Amino acid sequence: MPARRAILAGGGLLALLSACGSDPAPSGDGSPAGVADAAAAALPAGWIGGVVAAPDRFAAVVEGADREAWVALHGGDLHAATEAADAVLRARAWEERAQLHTDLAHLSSWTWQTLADDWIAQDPALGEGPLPLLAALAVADAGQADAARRRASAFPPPRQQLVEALLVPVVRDGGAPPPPPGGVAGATIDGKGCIAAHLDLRSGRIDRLPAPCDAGAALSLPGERSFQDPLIQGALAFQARTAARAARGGGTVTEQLSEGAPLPHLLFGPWWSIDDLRAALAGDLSLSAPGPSLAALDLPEVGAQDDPQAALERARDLDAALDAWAAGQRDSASEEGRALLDHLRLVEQLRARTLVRWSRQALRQDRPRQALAWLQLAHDADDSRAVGPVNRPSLFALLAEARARTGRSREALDALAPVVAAYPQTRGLAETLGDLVVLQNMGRQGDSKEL
Amino acid sequence: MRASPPLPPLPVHSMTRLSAPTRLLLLAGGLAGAAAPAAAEDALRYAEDQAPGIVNPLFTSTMSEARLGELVFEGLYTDDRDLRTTPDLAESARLSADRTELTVKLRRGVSWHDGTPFTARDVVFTIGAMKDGGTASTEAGRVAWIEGAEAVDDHTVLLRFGRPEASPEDKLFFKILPAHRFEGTAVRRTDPFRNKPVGTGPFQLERYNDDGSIRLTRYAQHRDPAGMPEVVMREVSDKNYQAKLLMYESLEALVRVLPRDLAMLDKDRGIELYPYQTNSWWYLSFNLRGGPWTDPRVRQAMALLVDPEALLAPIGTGDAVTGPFVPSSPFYNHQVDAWGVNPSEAARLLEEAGYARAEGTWSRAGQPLTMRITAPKGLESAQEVVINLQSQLQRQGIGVDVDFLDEASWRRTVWREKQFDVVLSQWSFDRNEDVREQFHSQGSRNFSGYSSTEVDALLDQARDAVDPQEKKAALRELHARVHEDAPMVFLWTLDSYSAMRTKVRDVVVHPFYFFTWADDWTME
Repeated sequence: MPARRAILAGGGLLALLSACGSDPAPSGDGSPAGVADAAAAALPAGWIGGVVAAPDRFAAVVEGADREAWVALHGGDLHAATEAADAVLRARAWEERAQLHTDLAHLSSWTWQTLADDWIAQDPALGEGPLPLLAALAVADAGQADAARRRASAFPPPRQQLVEALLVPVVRDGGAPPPPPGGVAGATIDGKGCIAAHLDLRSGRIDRLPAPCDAGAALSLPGERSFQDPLIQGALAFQARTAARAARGGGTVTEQLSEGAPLPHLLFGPWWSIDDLRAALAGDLSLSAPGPSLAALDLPEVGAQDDPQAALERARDLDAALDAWAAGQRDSASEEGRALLDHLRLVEQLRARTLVRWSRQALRQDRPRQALAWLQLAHDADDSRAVGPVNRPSLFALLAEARARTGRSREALDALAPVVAAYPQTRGLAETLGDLVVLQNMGRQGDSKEL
Repeated sequence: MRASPPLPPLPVHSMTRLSAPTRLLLLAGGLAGAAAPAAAEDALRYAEDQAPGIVNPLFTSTMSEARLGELVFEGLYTDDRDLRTTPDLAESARLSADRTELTVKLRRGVSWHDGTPFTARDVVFTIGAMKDGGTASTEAGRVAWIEGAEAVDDHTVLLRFGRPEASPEDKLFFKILPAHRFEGTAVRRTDPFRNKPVGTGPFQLERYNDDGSIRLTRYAQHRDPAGMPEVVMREVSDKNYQAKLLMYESLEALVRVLPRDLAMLDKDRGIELYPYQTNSWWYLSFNLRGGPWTDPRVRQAMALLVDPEALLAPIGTGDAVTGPFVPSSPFYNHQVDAWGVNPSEAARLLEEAGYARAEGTWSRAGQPLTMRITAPKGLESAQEVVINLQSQLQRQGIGVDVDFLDEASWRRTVWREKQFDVVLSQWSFDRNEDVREQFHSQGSRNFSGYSSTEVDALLDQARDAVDPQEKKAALRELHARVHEDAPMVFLWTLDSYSAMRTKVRDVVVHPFYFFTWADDWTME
């Protein structure tokens, strides 16, 4: 709805908010009202409750020179948000980008491994070429050290060194980069020098990938076959984390939290309150511990099995509580507060980001069906193909991974398309996934129907 | 499409709690099945825009027919929930060393819905019927690779192939038919089986109700009885009412949700949305057998006068396409630019083809250039598209008339007799996105008569490729050539969702056939 962006884009924020009608609230009739109300009462006000009760606090943060950057962050346009002058806003945008590319690196790892294993099984001669190495590099790029080393264990020493070099911890704080073990002769496999550039980036010798490597295009390898760059997503995540650290003046989020007001750290983010953000920073959060705020809802556990129905039940209880909480907020809020709540879809946005976080953890814990169930719930179908306040870039990246890992690799390409549109360096990952899709369906009988 | 008067959004759970005028509105539309027996309380009631015209896998040509068939019939193999090939009516198979023969052991203890045992004879019969020219099966292409089929014994079938096959099981998904219900392998479309199907699937077709709905009941003797006792298919041609029926719990599922209803349904916590994309795209196809469309310049001129974005905007969200794949497809050629609306270039092409424009109308040798568009009634939003298309083309001097055909007339006029000028329709593809039957000169779905030796060669190359990158390259080249040849004006792909009430549990939707795993669904 364009009015949402207009709300933040024009002057006279509160006047514009009061001029707009409200979107209808969710019907919230999926579970007994009494239980939902009790759960909602257990929720603290959080930052959403805070800005709904006092919209001027919201205006104080977003109005100003960085208004467009706040609009961008709200809408998931991380490119524009990283242009913010405000350090906290800029850092948050870079951190979200880093998370996106980390998520894509995991998808890349799965894609390359599956492609290599399936393709070499069909054509063993491919095992002599660069494909096994590229798969191992993709696994290392996702930080999956044990799996990368297992794959590399059968390689000759130069290739093992190449994989190992990617797993070397990044040098920080101006320390001298470690010398490459044995010269990393394997890095010269790529005629464009992009593999070597990736190593230079990870070891701190360079700040950014040079052109054309920064585009994530196909590598220049011996032979006629074309392979994409398996290291681009990790590189982009690395660059984004570096930029976030620079935006925070080299400090940490925890340090900055103690310095100023919390709202800029929370606005449009995935954390209900400052306590939840602090808990996340302390590494306390796992699938079974949703953070102190949502923990009060006593949501059902999903168990160790990858049961999507259990995931749905947990999400429905969350929805019932959030719907009841939002209804309560709406009843007591001013007109401006209600407009903030509904036009900016603050609860829907936080709900989606909670489900995305659950999904990420489920994928890392090898529960892709549960992840898929949550991501389908999180996904805003009304504007399904675009990045937006609810459909953030990571949602699409994780949806692609969940679909791919549940046999729906063709549908994973659908999910990846909006990310490719916004981040062209992801085109190579789509090409590689496309190769896998075609390989998996080779020899099958296609079916088509009218209508 | 005409908008219906909006019904008030109500958090109600049964029709009895609706206001009297609202109940009357629904009942007057004949949508509450007043003449139908009440469905079982835990029946799955779902809506189709157009009811299946035939329930015979030999002639399945629409998605609604394929979906219903998925409940009633089974193949030798099917997809498991991870979309891997898994035995269904087969139990196991052994491929010969030279990969030209497959010996299939059939599952024992399977019976048809009429109690007759399923045997190898049924498999042999089905393949024979599909290949028999007298059947003219729409599915003939699915067995073209099988040279012969023989019943070795009651539970063993030997299949012989024209050339070595790496994974023939992947191609044995077609539905098996009961030999004892037919007189021979030349099966007519009008055979009574079409409305009295007998399958081995988890549901059997119980009856056609007076209101046109189809009632299926659980087949109790199935080896894995379904979780739901009953499924009812209801034709609800008025899309405006489909979403309301779902919200008011008169239905449990909508197979395709109108884009404008997505936001409303997404907000209802009693409803889940499931992506159901089916890799589908809309098109205008010319009849290349005669008339002005034999000249590629005339076809290209039409492509330069049609504005797909403007036609798409009122009916939903999606992406314009430039060829026979959706943009997310690995075969989509992103280097192919859209024709774009360019009346001056279109005029140049038409003049080159011998047309002249006088008094606003294009004509040649005294004959005005007109387009008669034929569209199936079951194509949602087609009326809206055609009205806007008429406007676009008539502004450019092209006269446009329109026919909307029911299912039977469409089959006859377009598929069999090929008596059409231009058709507006939609193709849906499974994850293989195999367009061979649509564009090969011998393709069984190439009713436009398109023929190109280069495209035939690319299709053969794609079919025979063992390298995925080679197959990708061949089909991307095909995209470019078919775009340029313009046997069709490729229009768009739409976002597509299905919707289901949350009381339906353990739902996993097959990305193409929808109901493949419906036997595992349960009702809360």
